[in-house]
Amino acid sequence: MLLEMRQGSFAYGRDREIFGHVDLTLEEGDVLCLLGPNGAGKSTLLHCLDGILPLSKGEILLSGKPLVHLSRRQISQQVAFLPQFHRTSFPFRVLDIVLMGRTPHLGFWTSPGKRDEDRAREALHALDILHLSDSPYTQISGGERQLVLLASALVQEPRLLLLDEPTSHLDFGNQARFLQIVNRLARQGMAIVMTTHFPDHALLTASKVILLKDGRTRGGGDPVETLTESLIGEIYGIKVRLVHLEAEDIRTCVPLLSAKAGQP
Amino acid sequence: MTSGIKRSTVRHLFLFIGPPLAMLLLSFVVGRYPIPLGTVFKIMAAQFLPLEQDWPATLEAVVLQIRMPRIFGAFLVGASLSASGAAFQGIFRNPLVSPYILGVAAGAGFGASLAILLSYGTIMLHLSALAFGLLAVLAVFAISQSRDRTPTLVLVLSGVVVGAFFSALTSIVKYVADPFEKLPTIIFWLMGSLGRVTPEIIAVAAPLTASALLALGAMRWRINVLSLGEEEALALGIDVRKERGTVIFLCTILTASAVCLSGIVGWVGLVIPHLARMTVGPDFRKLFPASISMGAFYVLAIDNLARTLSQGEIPLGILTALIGAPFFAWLLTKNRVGW
Repeated sequence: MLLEMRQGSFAYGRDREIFGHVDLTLEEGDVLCLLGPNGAGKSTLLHCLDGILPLSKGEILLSGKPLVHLSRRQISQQVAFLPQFHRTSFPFRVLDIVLMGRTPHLGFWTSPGKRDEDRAREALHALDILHLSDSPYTQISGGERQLVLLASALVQEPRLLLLDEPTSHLDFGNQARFLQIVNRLARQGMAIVMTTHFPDHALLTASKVILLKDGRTRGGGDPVETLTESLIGEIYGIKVRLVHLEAEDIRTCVPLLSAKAGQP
Repeated sequence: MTSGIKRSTVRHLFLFIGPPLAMLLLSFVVGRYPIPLGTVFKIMAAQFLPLEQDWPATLEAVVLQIRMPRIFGAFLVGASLSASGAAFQGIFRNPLVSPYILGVAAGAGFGASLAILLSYGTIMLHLSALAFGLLAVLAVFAISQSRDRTPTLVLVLSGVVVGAFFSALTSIVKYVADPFEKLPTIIFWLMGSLGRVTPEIIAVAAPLTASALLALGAMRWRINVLSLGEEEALALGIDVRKERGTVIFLCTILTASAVCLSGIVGWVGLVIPHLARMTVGPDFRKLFPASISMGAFYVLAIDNLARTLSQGEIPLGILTALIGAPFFAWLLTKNRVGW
């Protein structure tokens, strides 16, 4: 078992509980999607899985070891985290931002060397953005930034990749391309936990889903069994239809609205 | 590729070392008694080689007793303030932060004023300035660490609070000080000057500054990662609290010893890191040596002005602000300030 959370709860202070009694397990090659409305605690849960926020109850095991016993460096050698909000800071070169991902494998007093730079370039090349190497990170598009941050996470050589709403700033095409990369990484054996607002994205990538509402899990496990019209409808408070495209074996979820302009 | 990197490294090295070195030599030449460069070299060489003395003894005293400590002082102050300013701007992710942000200058200013009020000698004055400078930063830490997590904003605000408190204490000292003798001394100290630097002070400050600079330079990559933000740095394996604390500690040593040498010299630690960032970019691996080089150059140049522009001596802090502020304004209007 790569990752396991047992009865995890998180609260700010005494009584502001964000989520509670969450169980989850993850093997290599798994893609776990966290779905739920705004404020359900998805992002907080993800931060807990990286040890950035401490659980208030329960425990997390990473490769069988309690997360709280591992140093930041030890955790970061196994887990990479892609934050939801873009790192906006000084105008570092794209290559330097990717090089930051090598930090867990560097000594305290050392800077990345030639080998690290080669790895960073390889990662950029694999994501087809090598041409951005010398551009200032602050001057590229949102979609490009997401890929640069992904490259940075990949040179970290993680076994577990945490993605916090990775598609939320991307256009339709880039969303699809990003999800394709997620599937490819999972096939290569990486475990991935991803929060998303779109049931479709879970249906396209997930091997497991967990639905969160008001800090409680509402069903979890196999995406096709879990994501039913009634449960999705209940979680988000809307009516939906699930459609199965049989030729491609892809399921998609469509919200049912009342008639739009121009319709009787 | 490799030779390209090498060539640019050599070029950078030349750019970093050349100008401050030239300014250093020029600083020996200019002053109330202009001394030809050849004579300066001969006086220096005579310390180690058996040279026949063909220069007046006063010149030797000016070079060795007055100019040399002062020039080293300017070098150390410029390097320390700029390097710590660059590091602070990085770890606080805020380009408007100066090395004095955590109250070290306000604390040291109070320490020095108190020592002058109590008629302590030079050594005690320096110790008092150093002690209160460190005390101010400790107080900032104590205030901000009382919370579970310390956002950099809390640190900066605590610095403002502690700085205001020590400024008020300094005002009390000024208020009760003898207005004919001690008050002018206090005010002159607070405005900054390198005129008081002696070889003994340099002997203490130089090794301290050099080791803090070396340690800060060794952390150059960590500072890059810290400048991404707390969560990002944690995710990349940085123990943020400990490592940010280490950077702050090293910068405090640098700033406090700079304040001891020169009093409060403003704007260097704010403007020079900007200039350096415009020249070499935000990567601390390059920003750090660039800041040291440009800071040393700038303070040397300004101090040369301070001691040659008029009959008396112009306080250093006045000149750095008088030149630094309009220059910064010009940078802003030109929209050249990239961060």
